[in-house]
Amino acid sequence: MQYNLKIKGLLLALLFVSNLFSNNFSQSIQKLSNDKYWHTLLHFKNGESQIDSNTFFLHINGKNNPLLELNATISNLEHPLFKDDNSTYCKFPARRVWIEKNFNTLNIKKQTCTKLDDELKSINNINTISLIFPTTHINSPASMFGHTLLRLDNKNKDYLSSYAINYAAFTNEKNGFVYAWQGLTGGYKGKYSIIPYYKKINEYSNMENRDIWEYELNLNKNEIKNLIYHLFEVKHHWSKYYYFNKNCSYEILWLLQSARNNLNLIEKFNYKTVPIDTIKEIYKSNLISASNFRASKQKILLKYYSLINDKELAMEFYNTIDKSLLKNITTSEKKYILNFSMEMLRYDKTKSNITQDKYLRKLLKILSLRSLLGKDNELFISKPKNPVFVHGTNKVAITYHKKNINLEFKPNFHSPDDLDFGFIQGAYIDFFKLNLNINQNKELSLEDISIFNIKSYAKRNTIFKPISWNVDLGNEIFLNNKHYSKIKTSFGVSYGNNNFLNSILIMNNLRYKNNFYYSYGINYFAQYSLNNSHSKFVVDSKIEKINSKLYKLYDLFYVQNINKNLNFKIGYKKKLYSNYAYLGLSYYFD
Amino acid sequence: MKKILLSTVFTAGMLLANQNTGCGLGSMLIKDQNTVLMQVIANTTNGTSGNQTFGITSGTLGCEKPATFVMNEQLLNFVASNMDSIAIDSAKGSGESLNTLATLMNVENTDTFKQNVQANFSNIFASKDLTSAQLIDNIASFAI
Repeated sequence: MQYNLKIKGLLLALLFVSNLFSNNFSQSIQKLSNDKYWHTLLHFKNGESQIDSNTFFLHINGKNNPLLELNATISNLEHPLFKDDNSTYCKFPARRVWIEKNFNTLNIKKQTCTKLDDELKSINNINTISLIFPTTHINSPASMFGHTLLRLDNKNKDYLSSYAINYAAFTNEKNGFVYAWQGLTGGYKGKYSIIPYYKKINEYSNMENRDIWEYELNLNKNEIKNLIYHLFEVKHHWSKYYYFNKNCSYEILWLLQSARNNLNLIEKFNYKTVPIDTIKEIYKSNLISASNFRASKQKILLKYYSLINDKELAMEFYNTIDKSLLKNITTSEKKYILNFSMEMLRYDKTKSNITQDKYLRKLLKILSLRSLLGKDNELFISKPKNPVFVHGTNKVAITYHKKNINLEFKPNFHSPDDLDFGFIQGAYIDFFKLNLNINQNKELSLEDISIFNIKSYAKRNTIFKPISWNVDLGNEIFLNNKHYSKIKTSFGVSYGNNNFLNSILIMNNLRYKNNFYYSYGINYFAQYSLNNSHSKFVVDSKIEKINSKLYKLYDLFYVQNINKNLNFKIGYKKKLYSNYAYLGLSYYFD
Repeated sequence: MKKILLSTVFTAGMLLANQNTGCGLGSMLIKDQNTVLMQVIANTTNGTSGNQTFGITSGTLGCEKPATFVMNEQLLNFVASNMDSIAIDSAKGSGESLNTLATLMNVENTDTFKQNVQANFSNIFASKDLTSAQLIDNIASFAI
């Protein structure tokens, strides 16, 4: 009897302790399910996971509930439903490592992870990770929005054979309009992929002629391993791709955050994710340890061309590949002409200006001549300003004229009245610009709205002859001071040098209010940059024929920066029904 | 699985993945022409095709394998995708693609290798119909 009681007492005590223990345990699970790193591993933000494929979650409500997902993950680790490569242990290595670290009392069943081990083997010589930023395409301002990806730098710093991690939307859509719409509304599945870095170089630097910035990150071995583990668990899953906020640059931030626990990157981007803003944020988080600039093929071509003394001879040689033309010139001039010819030929090939057969015959002739001349002289191409230091992408401006106050807001990106420091002169893109006016009676009214306004004023030279163009979509004040919707397009040519840009364009404007109004005209645009792009003069003048009447319209102004994110502006404007001098201040922020 | 690429960062319109990434010179240097209109319309989304594992790349499936040189998937893919750059760097006797080639072929003395490639350029790039597999064989026999 007594003995029995003792046993009962002991059992009760045990039950009590184990209850206490399991209470403690469930409390700590509860607590850790709110841990920032767990949320990072689930891509959990604003109450749900941003991953949209169901197979990513081990609990049916895992997308919305990190606690249930944590419980399910722990339960799968302790009582595996599948073996080895198919087990949670192998499929979710980043979750597993984090759980092991935080709960040392669990009875996790070890599994053999062949696939994961293979993956680790092929990447175990990763030394550093770099953030890659292909910058503006010279004749496509839209590309200034840019793209970012990661590169896994191998030990001997042999970047071409290193792997890159790219996030992209997958589609078979060929219709441009559908494609744009789907991209804006989350109609495509975005996924991470792993590709050799040379493919990216071929695409950006060789084909599209974009310069590439490569930022080496200071992630250590362990952090790199975290990232690779996390990549392994998310790469088979997808998220809805949204062009403006959940894009390539945004999803790359999840990976960085999985590498280093205390980073706050994802939180900074909600409504828009501009690639350059993510780079600035990464820079501010002290992740960047070195920057490297990789010039585009087009830049290299122009550099060789500029080093040639007899440019006519070079062009004649390129056209004829007659080696007797190179007889009486110095070896270094010969090298420049031959190097220039190779790059020119490659350019013509990518543009399909030349047939495959002709390309091959020319190429081998040029190259075999070049192979007789020994080593190359080092080519020095000056680095442009590091994009990390450009002005913020958000802008608020206030302008004063004739007792009126004009307010301008825009979330994106860069236009002629912003300074070009760190940007390519002549490449402009604005999204959702809003202009409001407060008149002397303190009445607020809408001045104009720009949905988008893209200007591509790429300078022509002896080699490249790009067309300059402008597309402007929005709403503005037009006849009788009434608001009209507008689609304006113009095409023309631009010339200039490093500081001077000079464009002339033919305008075709379509406006709508009850009826369509078509007008045409000429636009002369010029700007002169001073002090290393810290100030500039701009002339934007138009002659437009509206209802068989000619109107002269212009805007002349000078912009001077006070600091990186603050500009002062003074100008004179002639509009349809008014003209005035104005003073303004612009403020930029990230 | 071939995927049609979304243009990368709005610059191109629609850009097909190289359906027949070749084994020869010039075959990688084809880019679809794109119009200004397409640039404006299609300026959404970044996209590209990609494989899900390290070490495998598309594009060289139909290419023959080098006869003499030890089979190395990464080397074969690299050469097939970068033949024109390798040709140009070989003629100059220097350049990033030649360095990578040296690494992938496990060359001990890179400087000598580069000199040899340049000196034997006409032997290595003997024909305009050269395939990537032949190129590897030629480099192995003339420069290593």
